[in-house]
Amino acid sequence: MDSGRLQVSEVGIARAVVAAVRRVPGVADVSPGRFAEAATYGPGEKVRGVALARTAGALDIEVHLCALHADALLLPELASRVRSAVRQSVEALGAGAVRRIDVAFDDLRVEEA
Amino acid sequence: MATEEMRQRAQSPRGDTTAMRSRATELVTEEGKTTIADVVVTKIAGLAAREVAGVHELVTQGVGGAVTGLAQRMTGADTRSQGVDVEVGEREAVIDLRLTVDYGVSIPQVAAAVRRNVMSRLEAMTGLVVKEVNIDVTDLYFPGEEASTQQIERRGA
Repeated sequence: MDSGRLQVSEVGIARAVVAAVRRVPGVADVSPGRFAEAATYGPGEKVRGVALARTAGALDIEVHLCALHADALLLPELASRVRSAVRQSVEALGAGAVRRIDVAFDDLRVEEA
Repeated sequence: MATEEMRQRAQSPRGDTTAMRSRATELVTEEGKTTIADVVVTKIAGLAAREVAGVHELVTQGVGGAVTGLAQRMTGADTRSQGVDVEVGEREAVIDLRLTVDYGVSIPQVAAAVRRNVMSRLEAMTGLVVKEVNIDVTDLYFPGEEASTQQIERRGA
């Protein structure tokens, strides 16, 4: 049964992704990208740190972030936690299927002891 | 859907070609018809493209952006329709845009955002189905080149 359409703007999705990524322990913040700006562009605004591409309804998400340095830091493990947080937040929006989530660690934040 | 479209197509009057060209679209109903001029479609597309963050400005065909911008400011020409060409059928439209982007942005990402916004705005405001939005990025804008025309306030995440 088709009871209507649900639409979420790309900028809205990007904002949800940024919020989810920031809540992952081990993430210092999202990063605005290194060689080209990593952002989702919308009318009158942009959301930095996340780039979205939608092909045939499925989303490819690129997340740029700065990790917190720690003795037990394992980037592949942090990446998979980021991936599942992103996937969860996008699925909670009902904004369509997520195909790929690319994670780029642009920087490392080292806290001085 | 198809039969509805065919019925409306059959009902729409076949004027001479010049009259048809100046008319963007006709939404023919039992109670009357609605026409939308090409210039309306052009302006909506131009404004929709310009409001996307990362787009610096739209530029007129064939001439360098900076020169054209200067000429436009001096003559006071309507800048809202510059850099936009439209081809409009009865129900569908194809949009061609020429624009400059801010240095540093991802051009494919900004182009995709422009395409999305132009399509959404036009479909919502006119009811036209936008088949294509072709984008020609003609130049880059470096901040500080002409500080007075800075148009989009950056609201970072």
